[in-house]
Formats: sequence, structure tokens, C-alpha cells
Amino acid sequence: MNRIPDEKQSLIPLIVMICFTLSLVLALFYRVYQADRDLGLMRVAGRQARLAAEAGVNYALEKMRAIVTASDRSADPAALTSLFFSENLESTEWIKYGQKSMAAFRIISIRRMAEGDNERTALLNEGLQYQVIAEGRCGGFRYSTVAVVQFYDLVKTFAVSGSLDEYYYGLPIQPWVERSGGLEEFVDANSELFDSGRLTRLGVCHDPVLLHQFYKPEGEDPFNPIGGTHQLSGNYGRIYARTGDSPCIGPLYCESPVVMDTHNFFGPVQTALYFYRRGTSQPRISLGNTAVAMNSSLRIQHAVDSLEGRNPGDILIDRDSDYYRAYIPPWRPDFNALREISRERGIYIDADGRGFISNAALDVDYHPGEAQLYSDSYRGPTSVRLEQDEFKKKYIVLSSENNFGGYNNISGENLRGARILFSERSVYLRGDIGTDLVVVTPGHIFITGPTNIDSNMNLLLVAGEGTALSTVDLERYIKENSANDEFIDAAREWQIRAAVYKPGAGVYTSTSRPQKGEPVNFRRLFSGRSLKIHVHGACIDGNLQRWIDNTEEGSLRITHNPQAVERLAVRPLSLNLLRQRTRPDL
Amino acid sequence: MSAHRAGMTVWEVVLFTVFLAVAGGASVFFFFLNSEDVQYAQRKYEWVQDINRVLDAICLEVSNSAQFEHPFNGSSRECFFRVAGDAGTLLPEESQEGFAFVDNNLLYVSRSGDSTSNLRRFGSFENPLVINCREGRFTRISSDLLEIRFLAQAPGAFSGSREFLRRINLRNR
Repeated sequence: MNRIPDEKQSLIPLIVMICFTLSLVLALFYRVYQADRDLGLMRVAGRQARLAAEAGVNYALEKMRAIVTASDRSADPAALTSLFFSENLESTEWIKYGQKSMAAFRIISIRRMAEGDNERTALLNEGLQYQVIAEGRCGGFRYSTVAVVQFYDLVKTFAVSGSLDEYYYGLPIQPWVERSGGLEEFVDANSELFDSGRLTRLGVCHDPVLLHQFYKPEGEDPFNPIGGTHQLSGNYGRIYARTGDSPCIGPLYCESPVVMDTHNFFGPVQTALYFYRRGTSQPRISLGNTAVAMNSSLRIQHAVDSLEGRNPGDILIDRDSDYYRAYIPPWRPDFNALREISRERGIYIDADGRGFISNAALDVDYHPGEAQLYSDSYRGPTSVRLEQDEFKKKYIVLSSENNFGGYNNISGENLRGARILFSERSVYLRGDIGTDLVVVTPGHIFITGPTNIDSNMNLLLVAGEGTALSTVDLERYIKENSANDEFIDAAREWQIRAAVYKPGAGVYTSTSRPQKGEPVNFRRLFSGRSLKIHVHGACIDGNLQRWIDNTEEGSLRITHNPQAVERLAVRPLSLNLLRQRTRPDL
Repeated sequence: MSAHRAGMTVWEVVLFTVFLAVAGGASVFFFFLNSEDVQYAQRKYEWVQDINRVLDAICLEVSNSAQFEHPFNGSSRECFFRVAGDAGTLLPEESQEGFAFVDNNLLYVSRSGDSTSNLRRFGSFENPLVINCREGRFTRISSDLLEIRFLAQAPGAFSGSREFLRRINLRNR
């Protein structure tokens, strides 16, 4: 038998004791660590539960946006019932939130509030408010968030929403970016401004003091010099001026700050950032004396230590909060959903230019063609040189004019009562439409002359790449018929009765050419005279600056028609969070 | 073999010393746990936790406010806001509530047209919410960011104070 020697036998209890002591010490340390960690995790879990509840509200908001843009219920806000949303969103299931946490949320209630429209709030329709309740949980904690979601009927509320951002803010960093040869070089030289979030890479300023430095009349260069160059002689405020009358006749919404001199507005103004009056200028609002700004001009005044007088109190009422939430997210059409709606209930024109109505072939000629065009030249907020768009695509022509031997493919008869028309190709548009119509294309829509002006029908133009102007037809007509000055004077004024999505996507003419370093501009196109544009309806997004630059000075007008899309199958609706409250569930 | 067992071997001496050291260390540790210093540190830890709990509740209340009134800009010894009404629209109530640093205390107060009065309690916390605090400030960093900062002295301590700082994102401004 194998016997353990005596001296080794005496070792065993010792080893057991040593191991036991060590494990005791380790267990003690682990327990202390665990107790500490539990306390920390409890705090974290409380925070996460709260964030989860708020995330639930934002999730509901995004879902509501997606549901509305994908549905034709947006045509009539009354059809956006509580039931419509709650069927799609409410659930008793928890949705996991975050990657490494146990947090989860669920949406437990969406109700439409039965408030009438409050007349004191000109830019807000209380009848389109919804209450959303979301629950969040993590660990043993539970929070619930109650939120008010506001819908904005963009065409009904604003004459221009987001299309005049550049007009009222300019391109405050573009000259510096151009000088430094690139955005990155400029950002590197002024990294402190960008890192602190006071300035975005698109040049939008979030700090009142910085905004004042940018736009102060006769101010100094606010930026650090870029390697090897000297500072510029002055700030952007030396070349920026915004006097005269607003092109927008009606309520205006801008996503960037609104910077103005002695300027006349013809309706309430709302901006998601600052409403900044320069120097001693006296801007006026002729109608609906309201200016809503997320950060009121009073805040700027405090920031620049009251160097300038306040806004005239009897004209402008600006506020930091109260009923409004200043930011309104842009409307984004859902082209896939619109394509499906047109296939089912409207006219669908495929990539070859053939039309279908409710999936059956339609015997209407849409004059398909192909073109290569160059636009006017322009500068973007961070351009280092002049830019130009090249259009080299296929198109169709929707026309009621006599270009095509009097053939009118948008007469009520040829539209067969369709209320929506979707074209895979870009669209040239001229004349009057025979029915209330939504024209949708993922490409461009070219307006080629007065549009829909003799008709009382609603028209909404939705072009993914924007709505542009094309004067090719008019120039040809003038040339072929050797038209006199009187005719030109009448023909160069284009009245457009429509709501236009993404206007300002350039101007195309028969004389357009690659720019080759020289700016291409189409002012004084018709023997010294320029185009004049007058939109009756509304403009959504896009950038009207390019139309302003290429038409007669001060001639562009957008006159608000709140009923411009009243009878259509699609209505641009935007929504955001108005107020919220998060509380622990007991 | 037994001849070799006379006396202690080296490793037995080492082991004995180690155990003696562990036992000595443990008793010193237990004495230390029982000492005034540790009890004071424990009280201080509890006190910091209490203040953090109060600050959590204040942050929640302020970030939930329907409308933030004061300070509009810069910093102040007090802050005022309107809470959301219980109706579904969450519109701000008429009356204002707030927090104020008065006589080295942080108080929960309400403000009406002409006067400011102390309220009895804030949730589960009695007024004053924090005592022995100095240099209390509410600073409006931007329109949607408020900072609370103060120095507080632990009860029973004669010197040294601790700084508390919270930044609150105003959800509704």
C-alpha cells in the first residue's frame, strides 16, 4: 500500500487553512466590489429607465412620421385618428433599447386631443395635437413619459418653409472655406469653434456671441488665419445685407438663423434658431406681428451686452418658449409609397415613358425625350469653387400648350380623373392641369412657363431632385416668331399656382454651357430683361436663392394660398415634440 | 528521521510569522473599522448620497418644467419655473415654483405675483433640502441648459467642503 510520509501528512491541514484564508479574503473583496457596483448600477438603471421612456416617445414620433408619409391619410388630417396610430403603435410588448443594457420601452397610449385651434398661436394648430404615453424600464425602475406631439400642415401654415434659409442667413463661412482650399483645412484652423458645437460644418451658428461676431456690420474677421494666409479684412457682415421687402407674402419658417436689416416681412416669422436684427435697423412685420425663435433676440441682446437697442416692442413678439417649440423637422416624401399609390389609384409613367392607370396601359403620349443641360452656377455653404449641375437624363413632357400640335396630355379627359401622377423620368411641365393633381418624380420637375394659373385646380409638385426653371421653350418661341418687346415683357413673367417641394433647383436655358471657371448667370436673358417668378401657393424646402439670383432683382414672390393642397391625395405634414414630462412610476 | 525533527524548520517559522502578521493586520483593520474616522467617513458618504438624491429629484422636476422663467440669462441664487398642468396638453400652470439658496440653505419655494414663500416639503424631502451650503448658483448656460453648483459642508465638520454640480437639460425650455 502506498503510504503518505509523516512530514507530508502534517502539511495538509496547513494547505487547507491557507486556501481557506485566501478564499475568505477574496470573497470579502468580491462582496465589497459587488455591493459598490450594485449601488452604481442602481443609479445607472434609474437613468436608463428614464431615458428608455423618453426614447419610447421619440420612437413613436418617428413611427408616426413614417406612417403618415407612407399613407394617403395625410390628405385629410381629420382621418389621422387616435385609432389609426394606436393600432400601429400601441403594444404590451417591451421593445429592447440599447445594446448592452436591460432597458426597454413600450408605447401604451396615443390619443388625439380635442382642442380647438387657439387664435393666439398663429403658427400652431392645437387641433392637430396628440398625447403619447410611453413607459420605460430598467432593473427595478420604471418611468413613464407623457408627451404632446404637434402636427404641422406645412402648406396651410407657411407660405415658405425652409426654402429661404440661405436668403436670410447667407453663406457665413464660404469665403473662408474657399480661401483655405477646403472645409477640413478651415475646420482644423478653427477646431475650437466646431468642437464646442458653436458652429456646424455647414456654417450654422448656435452661439449668440459668435453670430454677432459674424454679422456685426463693419466687424473684424472672427476666424483664426489658415496656415500661410493673413486674416481677411473683415467679417461676413460687411458683405451681407438684407434690406427691402421679403419675397414671402405670408408666414415664413427658416431652419437657420434669420439675420436682417431694415427689412419688411409680410407675415409671422418662425426660426429654429435666432432672430437677429443687425445694428440699429428697424425690421417690420406688416401682418400677424409674431416672430417665434427658439432662442429669442433678447438672448442675443443679453449676450452682446445690450450694445444695440431691443426689437421694437410693438411689432415683434419673440419668445423663448410658451406654446411653441421652434424647430419643425422637414417633410420628406416617401417615394416608394407614392409610387404604390399611383400604381393603384393614379397614373404611373414608367422609365420608358409609357403611362398606366390603375395598372392598365394608357393610350396617352407623354412626349418622352432625352436632354443634356447645364444649369446656372452657384456656391454651396462650403463650396471652394463655383458649382454647376449637369442634367443628362430622360424626361417626359406634361403639356396643355400648343407645342405638340395642340395635343394636351394633362386635360381632365386624358388624366381620366387621376389625382396623382408618378413619373420615373424627370418632368417638363407647362400649361394648366385639368384636375387636382400631385405630380411626383424622383428626378427633376422643370417649370417651363406660367403653370396652372388659369385653372382653379390644386397642384402639388414633388420632385426628389428639386424643381427647376427651364426657359428653352420660351427662348425658341421668341426666336422663331421674332416676338416684339411687348410680347417678351408679358411672357417673361411666370405665374405658378402650385405648392412646390424643393424649389430653386437651378435655372436651365438654351444658352447654358459648362462654366469653365466663369460664373454662368441668366439675368437679362431676354434682350436685357430677366425672368420674373410669382408662386401662388407655398414652397417647401429646397433653396430659392438660385431663383432669386437668376431672375429680375426683387421680382420673386411667393404668395401664400393656405388652400393650395386642400383637395389633393397627399399633403405635406411634419411633426415634432412640443412638450414632455417624465416621472417615475410608483 | 526523528533526529531531523528537533526544533523548527525555516518554513515553519515563515508560516508562523505570516499568520501572526495576518492576525495582527486583521485586528488592526477591525479596530480601524470601529474608529471615529471611519464612522465619520460613513456619515459623510451617506450625506453625499442624500444630497445626490435631492439633486436627482430637483433635476427631474426642473427638466420636466413646462416653462423655465428665471434665470433667463447668466446666473442667479434662485431659479423659477412653471410646472406642467395635469391636463393632457401639459400647458404651464399659472403659479411658479422654484429653488433658492437662502441663508446657507437650499429651499423649495413658490412665487406668486408679489411674494416668495417657502413650501413645506418637496416630494419626500423636507425643506430645507440642503443645509450648510455656500456659493450656490443657478447658471443658464444656454437656452436649454441649466447648471446648479454649490459648496456644501458636511454636518459636524469644521473645515473642508465639497462641490456639487449638476447640468440639467431643459426638455421644454
